[in-house]
Amino acid sequence: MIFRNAKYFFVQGVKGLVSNSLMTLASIGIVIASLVLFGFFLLFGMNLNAVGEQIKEQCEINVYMPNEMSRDGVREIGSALSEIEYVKEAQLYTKEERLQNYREGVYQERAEVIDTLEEDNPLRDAYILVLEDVTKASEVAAAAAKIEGVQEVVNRQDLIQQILSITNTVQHVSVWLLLILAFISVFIISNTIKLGMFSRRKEINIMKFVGATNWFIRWPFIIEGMLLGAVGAACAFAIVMLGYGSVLPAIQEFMGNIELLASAEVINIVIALFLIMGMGIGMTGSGLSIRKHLHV
Amino acid sequence: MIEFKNVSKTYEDTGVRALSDVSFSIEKGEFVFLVGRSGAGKSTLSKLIIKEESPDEGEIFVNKFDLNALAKKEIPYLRRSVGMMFQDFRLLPNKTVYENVAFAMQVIGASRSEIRRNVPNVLNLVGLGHKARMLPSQLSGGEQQRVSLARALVNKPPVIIADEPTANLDPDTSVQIMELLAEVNQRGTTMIVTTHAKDFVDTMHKRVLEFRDGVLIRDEKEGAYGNDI
Repeated sequence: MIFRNAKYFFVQGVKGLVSNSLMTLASIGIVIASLVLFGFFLLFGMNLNAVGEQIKEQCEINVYMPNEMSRDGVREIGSALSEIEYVKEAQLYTKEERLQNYREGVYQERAEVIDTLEEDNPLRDAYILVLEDVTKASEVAAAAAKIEGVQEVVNRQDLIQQILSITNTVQHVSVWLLLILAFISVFIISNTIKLGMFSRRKEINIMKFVGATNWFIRWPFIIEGMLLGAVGAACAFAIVMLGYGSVLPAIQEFMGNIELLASAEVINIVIALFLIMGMGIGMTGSGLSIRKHLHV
Repeated sequence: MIEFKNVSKTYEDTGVRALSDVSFSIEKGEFVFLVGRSGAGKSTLSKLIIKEESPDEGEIFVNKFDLNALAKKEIPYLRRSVGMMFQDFRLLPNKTVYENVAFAMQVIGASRSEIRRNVPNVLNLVGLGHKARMLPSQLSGGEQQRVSLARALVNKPPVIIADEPTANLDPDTSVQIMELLAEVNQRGTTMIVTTHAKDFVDTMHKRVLEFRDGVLIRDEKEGAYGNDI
C-alpha cells in the first residue's frame, strides 16, 4: 500500500510544509544551523586526521652528536643506531651538509653569514633514522638516547600525539554539540508536526471513522518531518561546501607541504552524513509527535 | 449482522454507567431507530459498534468481526464495513463535494479508476451529481447531509449508522434525508438511525430500540417513538 499511495503521502507531506510556513522555516533553519556547525567540526576533525597521517608518514627521528665529536666516533654511533630494532636505515647528515643546506635554503640571500661560519662550523653531525614501523617511534627514540655519545634525540612523535589529542577533543566536542543540536531540532520539528496535526484534526478524524489504517494516517507526517530534515540538510550542505571551498586555499597556503583535504575528497561523506542526520532528525521529530498526539 | 450480548459499559473517568446488560441483534437489511433521551446510551452504542470504545462486559459482533477478539490493527477494517453519518456532517470545508466523497476512498487505498467510477455514481444516488464541484459552504444543510451520506455509502459498507442525521435540518429537508435513508435501506444496506425526530419514527413504522439510563427498555417491530421520552 505504501507504494501505491506514495504520491498521496508525498503530496500531503508537502502540503503540510507549505500550509504552516512559519514553523516550517523555523524547523529548516534550526536543522541548517545544527548541521552547519556540525559540518565545521566534522571537516576540522577530518583535516586534523589527514594532517596527522601525513606527519606520521614523514616520521623521522633526528639524532644529534656533540659538535666536537670526531667523524669516526660519529660513524660508530651510526652503526649502533642502525642496529636498534625497527630502524630501517640510519642516514648520516654531516654538519658540512647541513651548513650547505642552510646556504641553499633559508640563508640563500645572505650567503656571507654562512661564509663566516665555514671556519668554525657550529652545527652538529646528525643521523636521520628511517623507521620500519612509525608507531614504534617513541621506543626507538628512547633506545637511541641511551647510546653513549648521543647528545640529543628529536622525535616528531610528540607532535603527532598533540595532533591526535586535539583531534580527539574536536571529536568529543562535535559529538556533544551534535547531540545537543539534534535534541533542539527534534523538539522544534515535533512541535511543527504537532501544529500540522492540529490544523488537520478534522481530516484525521474522518480518516479514522472511514477506516484508514494507522500507517496511512501517519505517513504524511513522517514524510513532512523527513522533508524538513532533507531540505535543511541540503541548504546546510551548500553552505558548508561553499564555505569550505572558499577558505581552503588560504589555509592550504599557510600549511605548506602538508596537504589538506580537497572539497572533492569530503563531498561524499558530508552529503551522506547530512542527509542521514537531517532526515533522521526529521523522522524522530515527527515520530515523537505521532506517538504523543496521534491516537489512532 | 450486529449482535450485542449482555453488554455493559461504564466510563472510567466520569463513572457514568452508559450501557447496562444490553442484548439485541440486528439482521442484514433491517432499518432500526435508536431512541431515548440524551445520555440514554445511544451514542455509546454507536461508539461500541465501531470500537471507538470497548465494553466492560459482554460480547459484540459486527459483520464478520468479533470485537472482543479484534486486534488494534484490524479496527480500520471493521470501520470500513460500517458507514458513519453525523448530525454536524463533518465535511472538509476546503474540499469540494466530489473530493469529500473521494477522500473516503482515497484514504483506504482505493485505486484512481475505482474512485472515478464510484464517486459520480454515489453522488447521483443522493441527487448531487450536478453539485460535485461545489464546496460544502455553498450547499444547504440538507445537501451537506447528503454529501455525508454519499461519503458513508461510497465504500459500500453493509451497515450505515446515522447519528441524529436530521437534528440540524429543517422539517422539509429532514423528510428528504429520511426518505433517502429508507431508499438506501431498500437497496440492502442495514440502517441504524439514532434520532429525536418523533414524527419520522411514528410514520415510518420501523423497528425501534428505546434506551433509558443505559438500559434497553423496548425492542419493538414497526414501533413508535414512545410518549415518555
